[in-house]
Amino acid sequence: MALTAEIRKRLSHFTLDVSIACPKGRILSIVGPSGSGKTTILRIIAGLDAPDEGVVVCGERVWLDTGGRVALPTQKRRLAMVFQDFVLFPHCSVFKNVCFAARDKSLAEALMKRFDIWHLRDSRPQSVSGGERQRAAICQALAREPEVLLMDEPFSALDPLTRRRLREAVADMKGELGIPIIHVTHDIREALFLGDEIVPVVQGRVFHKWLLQFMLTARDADLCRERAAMDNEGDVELELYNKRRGY
Amino acid sequence: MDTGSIFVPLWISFKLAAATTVMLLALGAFLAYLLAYRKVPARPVVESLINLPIALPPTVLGFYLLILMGPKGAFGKAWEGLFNSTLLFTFTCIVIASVFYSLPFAVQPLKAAFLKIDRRILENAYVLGLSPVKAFFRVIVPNSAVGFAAAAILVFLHTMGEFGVILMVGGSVPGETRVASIAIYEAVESLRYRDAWVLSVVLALVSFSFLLVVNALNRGEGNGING
Repeated sequence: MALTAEIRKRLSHFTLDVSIACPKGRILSIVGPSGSGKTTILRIIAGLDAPDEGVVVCGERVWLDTGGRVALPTQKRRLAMVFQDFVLFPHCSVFKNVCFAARDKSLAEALMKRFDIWHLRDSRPQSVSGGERQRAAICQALAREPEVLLMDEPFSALDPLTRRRLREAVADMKGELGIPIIHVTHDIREALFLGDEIVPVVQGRVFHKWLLQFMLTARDADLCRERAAMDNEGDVELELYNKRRGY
Repeated sequence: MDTGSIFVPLWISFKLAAATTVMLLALGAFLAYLLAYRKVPARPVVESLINLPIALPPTVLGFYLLILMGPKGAFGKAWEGLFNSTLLFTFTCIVIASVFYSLPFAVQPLKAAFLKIDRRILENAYVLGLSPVKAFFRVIVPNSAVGFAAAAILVFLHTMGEFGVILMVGGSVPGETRVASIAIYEAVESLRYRDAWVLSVVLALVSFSFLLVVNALNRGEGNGING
């Protein structure tokens, strides 16, 4: 089941105009500077914001079609979203948070054990660390057994070590989950690490040259070039990179 | 007035306050939800109407309600048609009047409590498949417990102390609409100071204890309500 989205929305300083497609079992990383419209893309896919024009299709199900006047409410789109700042329900224990939308409590338990937070099951979210909260948020999202997983800067508020561990855990799980995962980040290294395809978004538009420029001037340009197999050819090479990773 | 008859008005005040509190927690939560989360047409007008009882003299509000619920008023006529009895000067009538009179004391703390909930928590609830109604009961209510407690206490106290509105639409029917505040007024008028003292002390103690609870709740929340 793939997710495709064509979105057009006038924002305060520019117009967001992007098309993306993500097949199952893959991670599509949307990368770009702050305020470029990345999060708005996720919010529109989730149904939390409405575009001026757009179509969002998950598998054969149309979630949104402004032309056909279709707009499923968020709760009817079978998705889960991991927010940037560890959004958990403060009145529930960590276990109840993970079980919040779970059909199968044993899956919730298995996920918590896998992400090493089972010992925190009776704790309140406020009393555990940021890394543990974000692991709980990922477990909560996965326990819903979503058809699409959206991740909005999921690791940016974490310390480097926790960030690395968590993104490795997510990368390990993507095949097994078998769903499209749309990941948004401003961190190009994170996008290169997680993304099977990378979509650079600047001022609301897909702009491959921005990614190239960023990579060539970055302090760790060598690493970036090595990971992305890029040179000065820009868009062509980015496409090659995406193809090399299975697209 | 013997001891038994002193406590009848207190019992009526208590019944009135309890019934008003229950009704206003439901109605106030609904209105507060709309004001906190939904687009409300003519919002300033709606909010001003809800808060009007704070600014209006109780006798003015009582006068309008008297007209509305009287035998020639729209509500009074409809009531008579439905139940074949008049509404004015009954316990039901003073409950309805109290609901109007104490409405802002329920809506304001509840709206403030709802607005304090992180918007993303609600969005996460929708993303996890909860409808707005389910999200209200599973996320908003448990995270606004202090707001509900503050609203309940403020409405209860405000209703316990009602005088003008009750007098206008309920009169002073013994055992039916003669509440504690009216009984105090009548006791003073007929120079029964002992009765007035007893009722006043009980009302003052009840109000003080409840306000202590409100302040303790606010202290826990780190946000004062001086209403």
